[in-house]
Amino acid sequence: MNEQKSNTSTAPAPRPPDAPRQPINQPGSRHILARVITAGTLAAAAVTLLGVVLFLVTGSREPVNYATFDESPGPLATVRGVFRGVLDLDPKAIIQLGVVLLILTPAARVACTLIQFIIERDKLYIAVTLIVLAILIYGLAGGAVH
Amino acid sequence: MDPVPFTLLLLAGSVAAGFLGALTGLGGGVVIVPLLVMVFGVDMRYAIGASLIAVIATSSGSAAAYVRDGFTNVRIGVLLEVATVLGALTGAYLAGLVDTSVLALIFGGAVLWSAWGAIKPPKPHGPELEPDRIATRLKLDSSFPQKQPDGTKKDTFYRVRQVPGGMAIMYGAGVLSAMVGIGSGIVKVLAMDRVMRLPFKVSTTTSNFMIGVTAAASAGVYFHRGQIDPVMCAPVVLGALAGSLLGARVLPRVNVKWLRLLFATVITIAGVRFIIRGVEGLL
Repeated sequence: MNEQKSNTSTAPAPRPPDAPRQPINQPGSRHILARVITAGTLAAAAVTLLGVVLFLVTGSREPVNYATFDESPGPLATVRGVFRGVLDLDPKAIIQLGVVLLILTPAARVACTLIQFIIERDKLYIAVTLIVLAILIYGLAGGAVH
Repeated sequence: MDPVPFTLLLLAGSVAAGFLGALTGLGGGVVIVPLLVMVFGVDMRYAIGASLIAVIATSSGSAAAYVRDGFTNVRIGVLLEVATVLGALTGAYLAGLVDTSVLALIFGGAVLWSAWGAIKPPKPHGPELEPDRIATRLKLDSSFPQKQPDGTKKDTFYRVRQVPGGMAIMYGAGVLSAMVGIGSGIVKVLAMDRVMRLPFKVSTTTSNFMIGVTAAASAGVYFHRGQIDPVMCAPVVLGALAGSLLGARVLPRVNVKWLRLLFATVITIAGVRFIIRGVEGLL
């Protein structure tokens, strides 16, 4: 038992002969993926923070009430409305831009994974990732809202 | 309520939710929805929207570290995302059709299940498995850095099995996550741990990697439906993100056993109250 442990702690892990090689789980790819996730999250958080600070400093003092759901979506329920508000320096729109960026971070993550599989010419997983991306874009574009 | 104290109180509550969610492994969603609904009197539909955004933030916040450390199996993640994302669209669609009482009822059930999962000891990983035909064709078997008794790390090989069963459960996880705004890590761990037999560390981190993608699909739907309110989302997102990053830092240095038990008790009470609320609403 002890003998075996000292053997394996220095040698690379024994790999069964039928085990596939998995470049996508290798350090290089992982670092790029990790960086994209971090960058996207930080950018989104920074924009949101900016919006909140603006809102607290300059925002209106009209009381908030979320006790009942407003069935009619306002202008900030469309990407166009958010951009229009950001150009007017509306703090709520800036917050919403941060939120939109945050929602897009996972999509960027999937897109990155797709690029990795393309580099590796892994046709099966290029197809799988494209399916995920297609469904995701359908949802993000407002499909299934009814 | 005046927006300034509302924002600041919600920020404080969300830091605590993110912190406890990360420390106990339950995720922020099971805390944020009760916090918004019971403490701040927010409608379920807004609460679910805000919670989903917080779930994306915390998933992205911690996924980066885990992907870098090599625990996440990206192939399994992407493959199962096909099921969870489809489930998320189904769930977001269904949530628009049913009464909030139904949502409260489902949320209560999900919370009780999560609480139970948190206090139940994890099952040790089984013996070396035979190669599975589907998993082999899909190249899912992989390895991860496992700590050895002498403190060094060694790449340990693992096999995957029961891919179709795992995917079916993951579809359900996607539906649940979208309907009530939680990461539904408990369902994902059930699929990957118990059914597909992944090592615990791999299943939890891969699940965390997927949670953000799953939540993004339904958050897109909720955004267009007007359920994502900026004034409410901002403190929730920033608080949950800060809290979960803090929790991940503290995690290796604290004994979470008692905290987890205490926390499971608290959310059990919240879960029961949601169920009562749901039943009352339906009667």
